[in-house]
Amino acid sequence: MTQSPLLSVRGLCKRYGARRGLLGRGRPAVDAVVDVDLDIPAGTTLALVGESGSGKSTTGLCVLRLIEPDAGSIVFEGRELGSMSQAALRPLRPRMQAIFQDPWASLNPRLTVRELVGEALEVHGMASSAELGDRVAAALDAVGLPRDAMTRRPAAFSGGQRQRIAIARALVLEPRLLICDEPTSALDLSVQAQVLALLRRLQDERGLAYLFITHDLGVVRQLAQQVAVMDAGRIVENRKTRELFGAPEHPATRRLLGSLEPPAPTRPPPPPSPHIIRAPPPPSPHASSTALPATPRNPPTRPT
Amino acid sequence: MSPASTAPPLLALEGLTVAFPTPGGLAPAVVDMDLEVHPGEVLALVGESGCGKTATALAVMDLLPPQARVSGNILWKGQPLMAIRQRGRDLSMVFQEPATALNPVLCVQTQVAEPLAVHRGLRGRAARTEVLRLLTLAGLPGAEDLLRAYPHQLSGGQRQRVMLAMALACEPELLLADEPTTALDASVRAGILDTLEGLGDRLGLAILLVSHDLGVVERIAHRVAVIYAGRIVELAPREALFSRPTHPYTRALLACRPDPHSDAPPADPIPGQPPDIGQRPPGCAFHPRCPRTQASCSADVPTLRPQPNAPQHTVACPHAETSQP
Repeated sequence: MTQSPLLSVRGLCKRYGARRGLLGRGRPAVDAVVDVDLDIPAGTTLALVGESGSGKSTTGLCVLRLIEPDAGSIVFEGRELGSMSQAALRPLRPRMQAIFQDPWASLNPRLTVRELVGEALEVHGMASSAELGDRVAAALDAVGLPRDAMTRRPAAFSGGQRQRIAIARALVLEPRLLICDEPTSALDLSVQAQVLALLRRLQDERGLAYLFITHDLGVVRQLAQQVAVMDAGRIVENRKTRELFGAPEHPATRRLLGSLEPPAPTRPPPPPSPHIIRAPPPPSPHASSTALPATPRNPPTRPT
Repeated sequence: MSPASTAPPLLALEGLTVAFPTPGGLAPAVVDMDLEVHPGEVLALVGESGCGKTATALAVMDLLPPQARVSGNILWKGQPLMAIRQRGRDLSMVFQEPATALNPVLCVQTQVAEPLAVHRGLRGRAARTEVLRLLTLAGLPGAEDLLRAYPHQLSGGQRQRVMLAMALACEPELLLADEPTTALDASVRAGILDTLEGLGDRLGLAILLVSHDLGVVERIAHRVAVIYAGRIVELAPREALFSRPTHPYTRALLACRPDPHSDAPPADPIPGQPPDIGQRPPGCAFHPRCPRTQASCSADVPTLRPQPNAPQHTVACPHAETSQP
């Protein structure tokens, strides 16, 4: 690669503090993100996959500095974000936007679509009030929503349409990077297909880069050029999508793949015996050591 | 082939219709549904949000809100299913979200023992022994230390298993499972599905599985009913449905499933959205989105008809064409 990537993360760490609870029943510190390195070239998609609690959402929020990381460098468009003040970050915020899993929770139900999508333009002073309507309308066009949506509130829309509103709200700022945190997990299959097609089209048209956080490996294979697998806060495998699916190396990756149903439709009916790789529960991120422990979940890889 | 196609059906729905009053009039969520569940079989109802699959299950359990209008017959072994006590005993239900379905202020033992006291009169030491047996059946063996735990102290998978133990308390012949694994991680989901499958094999339990997750359905269902806008559009043995999907909706739905095992480019998504239940298109409800639509599609409601050489595979589309998805 000749160009430096759009986003480059090195040594990102986040520990959630220990809590002293009532009656001495406290909670130990949790290493949510440990020494994470990521690179996303412009116009490409990096999928961040892992089971619940593996630290993938925390990583996404740290990259945006919506959560303050404890350590690490975040270089976006050549500038180091890790040490910037929140005030200094503000002018960069339009360049990196986020969409979240639950479009029922991420949209303020009291605002109209025009207000929801236009608010960010006003906050960043990116449009005069005369332009605002046109910019919002253009964003709605881009995500395939009718213009008359502008005067309605989120309650009037279905899940897929709400997620389109959330995408329009991010797009209106003309970002370079979108952090997508499980953006289709709450949607029906046919709606998911529509939203994924929209994200692919927007990437082609605008050269957007995505950090796509998901547990759905089918979606990963459709969308991402590169996949990073997280397990207990660490990146355990980070490879080109095709290579990873062809020969998964780390036990966590194989566990994710193993929990998939076998491919349709050539599969014979299920035999009566167990036919799914059964794994012990994922390791707790509590009190993690520096090396991956040798447990039944992490058997030594077969010599090749 | 259902495991016991000669036995009379355990549960039969005849012309089941469920409608909800709305400002614009009665909106039917389930329309004229005929369906049979046989002993020991896993029958899956698949469809997208709002298609009526959960309303069907709730109608069977008589758990619909009071304003719902239900018509048609619900038969249990040929007799009308009437008594509420029968519903808790011969058939029981597990729900999608175990965190809200369990009572947060009751410990595991109290929750699981409640149906034992109500339906079987078991109390004290006998109840405790039975609770442990049920938890083992539900995939929580040696769970003595869980008996005093409260729902918030359990993981999602454990909660789902506690709910399953409650549902098994009266040794039901039919279990209704509404999205039992949707809220769970993939590896936990696989374990729960193994448990459900094992219950079918070991206890001869029939399961009516409500799910939008084709992967789950493909793993454990014997037969699959695909529902669109309140009607069954295709009903087939699992293998036939996944290898020879025939209704245009089924084919489109299977095609938009992201396949982690293939590099094939994704199929074009189905245009448009499922209809609002109050504004169902006339004729076949799928016709405005269907690639094979013809003039007659907006006039006549198609009925389920057996496929040539496959009497168990019925499809509600006169223009359907069998081929690989």
